[in-house]
Amino acid sequence: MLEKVYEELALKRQELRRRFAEWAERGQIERYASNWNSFVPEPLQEPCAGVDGSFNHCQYRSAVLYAVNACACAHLGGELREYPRAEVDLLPPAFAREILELRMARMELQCALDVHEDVELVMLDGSLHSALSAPRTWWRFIPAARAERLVELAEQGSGEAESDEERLLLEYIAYLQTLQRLLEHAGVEKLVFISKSSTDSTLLKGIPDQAVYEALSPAPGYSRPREKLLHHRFPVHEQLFRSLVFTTFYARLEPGRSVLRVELPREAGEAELRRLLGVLYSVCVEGYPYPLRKAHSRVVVTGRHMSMIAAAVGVTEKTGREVLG
Amino acid sequence: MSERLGLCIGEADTRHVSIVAERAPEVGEYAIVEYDGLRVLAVVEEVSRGSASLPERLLSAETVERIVRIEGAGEQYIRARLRLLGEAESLSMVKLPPPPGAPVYRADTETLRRIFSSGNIKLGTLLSHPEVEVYVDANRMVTRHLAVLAITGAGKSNTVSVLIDGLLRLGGMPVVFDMHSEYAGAEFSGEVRVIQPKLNPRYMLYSELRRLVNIDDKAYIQERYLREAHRHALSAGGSMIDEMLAYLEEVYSSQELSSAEKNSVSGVMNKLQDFRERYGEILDEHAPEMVELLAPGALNVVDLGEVDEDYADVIVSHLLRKLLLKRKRREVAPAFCVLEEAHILAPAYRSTLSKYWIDRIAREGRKFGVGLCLVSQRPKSLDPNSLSQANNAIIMRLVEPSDQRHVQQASERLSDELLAQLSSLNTGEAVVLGLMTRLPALVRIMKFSGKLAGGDPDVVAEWQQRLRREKRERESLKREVEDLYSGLE
Repeated sequence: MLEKVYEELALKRQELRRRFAEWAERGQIERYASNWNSFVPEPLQEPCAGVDGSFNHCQYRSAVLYAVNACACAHLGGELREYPRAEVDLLPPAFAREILELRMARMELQCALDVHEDVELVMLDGSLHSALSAPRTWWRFIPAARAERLVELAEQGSGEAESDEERLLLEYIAYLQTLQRLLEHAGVEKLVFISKSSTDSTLLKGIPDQAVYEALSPAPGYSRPREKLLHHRFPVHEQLFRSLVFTTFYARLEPGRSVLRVELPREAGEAELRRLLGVLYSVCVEGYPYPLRKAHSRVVVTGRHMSMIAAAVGVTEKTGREVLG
Repeated sequence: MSERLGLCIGEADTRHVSIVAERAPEVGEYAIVEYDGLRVLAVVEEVSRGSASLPERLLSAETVERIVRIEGAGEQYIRARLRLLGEAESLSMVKLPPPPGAPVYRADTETLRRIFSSGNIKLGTLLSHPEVEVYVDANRMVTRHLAVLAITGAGKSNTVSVLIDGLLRLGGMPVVFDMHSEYAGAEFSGEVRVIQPKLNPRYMLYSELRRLVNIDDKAYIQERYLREAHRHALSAGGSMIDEMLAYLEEVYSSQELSSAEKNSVSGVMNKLQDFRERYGEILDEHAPEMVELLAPGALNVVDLGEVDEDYADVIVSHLLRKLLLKRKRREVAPAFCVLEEAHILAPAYRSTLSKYWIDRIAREGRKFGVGLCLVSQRPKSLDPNSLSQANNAIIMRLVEPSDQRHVQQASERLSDELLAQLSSLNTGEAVVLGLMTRLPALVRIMKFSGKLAGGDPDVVAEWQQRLRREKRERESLKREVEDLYSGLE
């Protein structure tokens, strides 16, 4: 079945193994050792929450059946309280994945809004900077005047899309509006974005910074923080988003555990980073904040869940993949 | 309404359903599943408990500790698997499985009493519902036989005593083949009659005698002389063996016999003398027929405690044979024969005299009112034919898997789930199953209110008693010596 793949693998196995190992062996990562601060955090107990979301969908001939959910798990002194949200519905097939990504992200922000008053720190999965920097190429297919009109309507809460791109724009606007609300109500001081894996590469060409710090040392600590800005166009609240300063750094909370990418939507000094690491450390399990891990475990929508949902709806329509047997 | 145990989940069939429980039910606990206007009785077979936050893949105690610290008690789940036993009123089979979401309640006492308290011998209480007394049906216990199986010390003697006491209260006729002299000095609700294990050769059948004298049925010449000697001795009166030997001596002296025939006669005489020597301990020319000594309403104890296993085998086979015969003629009351150490009398892999009659009674006893109670701590050594004829069983703690398998092969009613319970039962707890109870049950056997003579001896007390006696003797001797010396001074 996969004979050709195996043949290719047999030919290249040694080379692949070498390439995996060589980048770290060339002695090129040592020059970044000074970027890394070995630091064992002092645990700092503080009510905090982790937020994560997930979606899955099944494309039928006429529509996409989807499930989106998100959950905030708040650690409130010996108790873990949940703030879940979910949506099951149909979508037109065009741009379904893009819309669902935005909807999930919005739902995560809504969960953060649900929980922020009960905690001192809200941890969200991923990177806000990456989310806001993602290219929105579809936007250019909407005439500028129509886009402006849609923004106006959306701000009044009454936008009606006339094309697939417009639907996507409205979804994007809804996401940005929710983000603006979160920034306004929770404040940037309460938010931290944590990525398990990141492809940001500023040190070695083509090698993510996370891999470099992972290879440098197994000790707990954090990297020298960097600041990032946004120069993108936004259909709403552009001034707010462009004014944000993102402080990013990498951190390992426990010896030998994974290096995480940490991002704060604000300027932050070293003392503040160390304090934050203390809070994260106090709730970390196997090197990762437990509320985030718990939130992740609560939201994963698997293929089995989708099959169950489809069975419950009683979908008889074809997906087109039946022909594959 | 009783306490709710939980709700049905997943895919059920007409025999099993899983529930997510609101509190941890006990294995063996009875439940009522309500659906479609039905009340279905079920028993908890498995209980599992876990936490999605603490899955098995976690390998570090520190990680678990951290999660518990952050999450507190966390969200734990309790699930149970129930076996559906039948509609609660009639115990008739369920034709439709319960739907997911159907509520499950702890079975109410009234329902359980209707099912388990309807027999006529009280055995104990349900393990999971101590307020419900368990009775067994004496008729079905006697006519369909019973096996009481457990490791030593699990409570077999107590269980048998409870049953015997129950039978005595009903005017029954229990007969105990008492291998350890436990019952001879015991106190029961009725009279305890101790029957000495003595065989009068006069009451032995010819075929029985021939086997004990060890004359093969192929040795037809010897067999003919033995038969003639037996016939002669029966009509002559006096000592059977002496009469037989005298008759054979007379035949031997006859001038008409060829030397080959004389050899045969002398062979029979030798074997007869061997027989008298070998079984001298249990042969008594004046002993009454044992079966005639059996009395209804009394516990009839055949005390085999001081008799070798071979002799016990002869006694048991003789009495069982006579009893079956007498019952066929309705000359004796229905009897319930308790065979202690049944694996010795009816072993799996060798032949004994008793094994044949145990098997016969196991097959025919039902029609004639002779019941068997096979008691054994080594079920795997017990004849599987006899064991499989026991349609009732009280199985207490059995640890050895081979014993468990043997019992399961012999008893179709012993499910895998009940089998799994056997190794974890405590002393006095038993799985009770068979026709004598309407449903298999986990039972705490009540304590026998009378007194048994047996039990484990207090060896330490005996040793200490001897030490004290020796010390007293030494001190007394010392005093005597001192007195003697003081007298001399």
